[in-house]
Amino acid sequence: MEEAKNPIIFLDKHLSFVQEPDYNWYNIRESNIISEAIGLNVTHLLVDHYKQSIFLCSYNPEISNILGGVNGNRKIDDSIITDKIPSEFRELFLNQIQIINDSIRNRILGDDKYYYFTFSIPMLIGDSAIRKITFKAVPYQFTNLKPDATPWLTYYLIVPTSENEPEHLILHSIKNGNKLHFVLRNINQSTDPFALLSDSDLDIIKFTSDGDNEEEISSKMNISVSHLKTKKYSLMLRLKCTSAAQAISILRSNKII
Amino acid sequence: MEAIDLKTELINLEHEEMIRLSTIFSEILGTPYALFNHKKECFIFMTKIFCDITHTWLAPDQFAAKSNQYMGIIHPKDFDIHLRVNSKIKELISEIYSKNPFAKVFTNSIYRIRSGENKYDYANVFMRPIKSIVEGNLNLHMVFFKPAKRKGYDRFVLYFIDGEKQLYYSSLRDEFVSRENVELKKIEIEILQMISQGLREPQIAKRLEIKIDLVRYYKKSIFRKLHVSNIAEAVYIGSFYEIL
Repeated sequence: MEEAKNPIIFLDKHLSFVQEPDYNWYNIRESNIISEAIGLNVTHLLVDHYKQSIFLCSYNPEISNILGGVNGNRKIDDSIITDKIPSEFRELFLNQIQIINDSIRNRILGDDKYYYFTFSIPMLIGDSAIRKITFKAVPYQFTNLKPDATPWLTYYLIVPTSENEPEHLILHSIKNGNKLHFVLRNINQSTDPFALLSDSDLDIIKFTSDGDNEEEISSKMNISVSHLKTKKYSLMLRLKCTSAAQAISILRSNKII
Repeated sequence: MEAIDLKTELINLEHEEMIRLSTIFSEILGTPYALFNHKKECFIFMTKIFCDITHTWLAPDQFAAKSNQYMGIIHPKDFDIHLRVNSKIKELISEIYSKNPFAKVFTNSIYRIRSGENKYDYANVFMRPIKSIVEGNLNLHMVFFKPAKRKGYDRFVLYFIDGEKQLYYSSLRDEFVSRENVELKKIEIEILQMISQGLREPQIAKRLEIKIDLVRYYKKSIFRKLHVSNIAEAVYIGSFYEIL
């Protein structure tokens, strides 16, 4: 087996661990998810931010094929995945993983840990064929069971993208059923490149792009016109744009509308 | 008093964590998950997908000790064998964990699972023991299932994740056995091959120039060695392990 060299992209380098996590927990949890992979023929990646290593467990033939025939359970270098992403999408992929790590570390939903992320990215099959692949990221294991524990293991489920699945990065909150959409403002912007929009924010842009005026939009959304204006203003601020047309353009470039 | 409270608090936190992971994995995999207390033979938690698929709807405080509800999920005719195999699985897993506390095992059983009002479909039911740091082993299991493609003769299997041989439930011996490296005699292989070609006992006896009683004797010997209880299963196992 090849030694893994410098796994970079998936690791959160901003985490600080007070002491070594209890690896008895790791053994128990790892066997849990391996049995799922075997039973359900899925592929997953387990990122260990403490030991700075990533483990691939691949029992889905289609994903194994994309990753160059890698199957079973083994420690890998992240190049096994990133080399299969067309070069024009690699920076986007890097940004999305970074956003996921930042969100988990900064406790994006406070003490609520019932959430996961999804995004899709094209990957190469062989030299030229493309298949869209969805990554679903779960804050899997923390250093202890208390609400403020340090994130330790992140789980990524890797599946072929199903029809009509959105490509952009979405945070799914399970308890209240809400979704938060990460919208890339400017891929060349190195700091704060993403804006966070809710479902209702997207609705405002979608209705606007359909040609609805403010009365029509507020009626469809069951809110007052003044409330709509406030939401629109906040939305423009977050997207760092000055007009609805610009907002629509940003969402279109993110393939959200 | 304080020590017991801390332990209870930790157990509750562990259960909450298992519920969190079951809920998230159920959603991202689209798979019905449940948490099952093996000792008390009852569910302590079911995800929404599990409830929807099995047509089981219980309030959280009704989960504990509802053995009649448990029976309702498995087809009544599968329940007897379930109880028998389950008690063997409990014994076996206790034995495995007593020798190796870090063993990684899970079971796959094929049952008819309720899928509607008076409707049951075959499903592969996976059960995986969850080790508790506080309580030690084995009472809690994570359960998930998927539709079974076929009824299958390897109906109850114990898998070892780190490469040891799988174990299969032998209804003949009422225990879990390893089925590989079976040594059938040359004549037993010939008889099995002829059976798989559709020949009957008198025809086999005639071809091999032996008495029909001897054919029956060898058939019984085949059943014993392959840990099966009928000839169709023997042919399947024989072909699966390339004995035929």
